[in-house]
Amino acid sequence: MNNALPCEKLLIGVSGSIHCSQIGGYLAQIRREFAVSIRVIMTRTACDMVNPKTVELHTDSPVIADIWGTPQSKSPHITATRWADLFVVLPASANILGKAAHGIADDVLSTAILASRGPIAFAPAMNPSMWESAAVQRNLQTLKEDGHYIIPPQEITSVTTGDYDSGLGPTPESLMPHLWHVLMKHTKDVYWEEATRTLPMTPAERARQNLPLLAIADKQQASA
Amino acid sequence: MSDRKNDSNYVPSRFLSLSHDEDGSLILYCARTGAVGVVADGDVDAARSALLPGTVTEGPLGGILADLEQGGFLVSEGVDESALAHEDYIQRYTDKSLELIVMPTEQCNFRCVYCYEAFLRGEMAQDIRDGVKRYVESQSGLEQLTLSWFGGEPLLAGDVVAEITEYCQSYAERTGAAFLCAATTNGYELTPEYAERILPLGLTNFQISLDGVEHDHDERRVGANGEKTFARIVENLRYLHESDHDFEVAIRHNFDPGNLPRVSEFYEMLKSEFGGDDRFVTELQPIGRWGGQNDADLSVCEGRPMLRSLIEAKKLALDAGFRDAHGIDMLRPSGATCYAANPRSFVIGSDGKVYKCTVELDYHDRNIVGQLHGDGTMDLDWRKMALWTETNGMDAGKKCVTCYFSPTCHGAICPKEWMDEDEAECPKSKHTIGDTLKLIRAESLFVKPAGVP
Ligand SMILES: Cc1cc2nc3c(=O)[nH]c(=O)nc-3n(C[C@H](O)[C@H](O)[C@H](O)COP(=O)(O)O)c2cc1C
Ligand code: SF4
Ligand code: SF4
Repeated sequence: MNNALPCEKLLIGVSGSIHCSQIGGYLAQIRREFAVSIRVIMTRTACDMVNPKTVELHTDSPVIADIWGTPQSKSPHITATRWADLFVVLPASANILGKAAHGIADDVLSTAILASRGPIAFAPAMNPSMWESAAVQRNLQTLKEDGHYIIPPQEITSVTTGDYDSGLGPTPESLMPHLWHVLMKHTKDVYWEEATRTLPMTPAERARQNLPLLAIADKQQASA
Repeated sequence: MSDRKNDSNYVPSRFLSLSHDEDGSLILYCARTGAVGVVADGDVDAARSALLPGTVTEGPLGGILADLEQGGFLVSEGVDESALAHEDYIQRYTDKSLELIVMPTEQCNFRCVYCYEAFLRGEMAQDIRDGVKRYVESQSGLEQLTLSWFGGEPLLAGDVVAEITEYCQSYAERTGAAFLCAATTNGYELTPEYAERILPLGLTNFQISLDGVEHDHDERRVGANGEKTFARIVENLRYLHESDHDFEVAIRHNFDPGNLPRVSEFYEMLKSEFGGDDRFVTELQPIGRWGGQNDADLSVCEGRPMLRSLIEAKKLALDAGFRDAHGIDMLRPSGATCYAANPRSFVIGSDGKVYKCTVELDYHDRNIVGQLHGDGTMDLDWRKMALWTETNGMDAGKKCVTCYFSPTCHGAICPKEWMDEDEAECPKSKHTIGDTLKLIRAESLFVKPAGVP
């Protein structure tokens, strides 16, 4: 077993796709396999679709649903985005994709997206007719060009107006490898310069330059 | 799915490579699917025109064109092939497979002229052996377990190798996981007695270096006390050859300008010893300046002439009846990526230190990514892990983004090189793709590797 999960601090933005009714399952899996600490921002529509109290069962702090934040997290669009190692919008409605692509900041989630310094992973979920619309496709393209990451939706069954309909969205299996990839790539980018500043040196190369061995203690152990 | 613009029109894959063989047939390779196909002379014109960049072929497809679609050489217009290749590659982040490369000791009984190791630590203590077993035991839902023995010379710690191999084999049997166990060994301690002990425990794949005919080998792969090593290794190999065991020995030939002139003599020798035994395969590696004591004195093969020599030597090996240990595997999706890029691959030092790269070892702090404990838990530094699992190759503007070979390599042929140099060298199989495809075809005629259509 590995002692540490890869992501220390994960910020999740939940928007008003009906897929947010699955958020409890995602949060449980993410806590088990991926992130140590999770904060959640919800749009007003998302709060109508799923009770924030249910979401809070899986998080360490109250859901942020207002631009004024909570006593623990004031001006959350700044504090929460600075806190996070990774920011994912799950699920991402067509509306939030459009706002993010155009820099609109008219509620707490869209403002946090605009205020975020790192790349954001969007997990779109919507009806195929919305997904295939020229506007959504255009917005997806803009987001990619802006350096964000789109988690390609799978065909799923979603509940809309009480009828079962075919929908597009993430699944727990499809989501996790993408989250890993986005986190690891971002981590690599941030650490790269420091990690590659010096070249590695084998013991023979160190000896040629009269440098001490790196692992002197270990050498003593071997000869013991 | 929705990103298909038009299912009835087909375009050539962007991950395609074509090579003409001497008999007029066309050999095709699609890096995304890993398919290698041969188009017979009569169909070549139809195939070539459909595969010309920019050609759109209307469906439904029949005959050779339907075959091309099946292999992924033709794809539906609008399919985002790069997204499919990426989706495939990120599956390495799921925990269905585990690869442990274990150093049961860092000591070695050889002092090869090009070696870069430091032989710092001794045999793995019991608590770390228990740690390896418990770490394996703590996995759930594993579909593939790969255990690779590395060193130092792993068979100097033959008991450690036997203990952990036996455990992993029984774990795999209990859980239904597929088990592959291999050792990179100099072959000196793979005596008949040890072979009889270890093969039934599941260690059946060996990579053993013979650096040429006897005197060439003995000049390069020298015993720790200056002794000759060739005769004893070959004696051990003869025993395996005469046995009925199921195994695979990859005979690795490290070449340099000095032993290259006798490479044909070398393969003749191998043929007379092991020819016709398909449990013996071959691989070739140019000797490099890998950071050892004698780097300044080594004469090495480089650049285009090295690639030419490599292909010529591969042809000789094939003529002698030996399959290439990696040939078609290197062309499969993700087949040319290094294990260091796999987030589920760990090198375990004899003291439980966890590394990613078997060349960098503890020569840079960034490669010491964690520590395995006796209770089977592993501390990992994910910041360091990220350096190895995500290279710069796929970053915007880098060469891998537009590369036709990228589903095979993903810019991860050597994560270390991306850190040490401006960019990593592309795999040799890409540089020599035309000849490589011809060799694979020739090989498939005497033995057909799984997966060749
Ligand atoms: C029952 C119901 C289900 C909906 N499902 C989706 C959906 O899956 N995806 C989507 O983009 N919009 C969906 N919508 C529409 C959004 O909720 C609507 O566009 C809203 O303005 C989104 O606001 P938000 O992005 O601020 O959360 C749905 C609306 C309703 C009433
Ligand atoms: S390293 Fe070379 S072969 Fe590999 S993906 Fe990059 S450009 Fe292609
Ligand atoms: S990272 Fe490069 S040097 Fe290290 S094991 Fe992989 S291919 Fe070899």
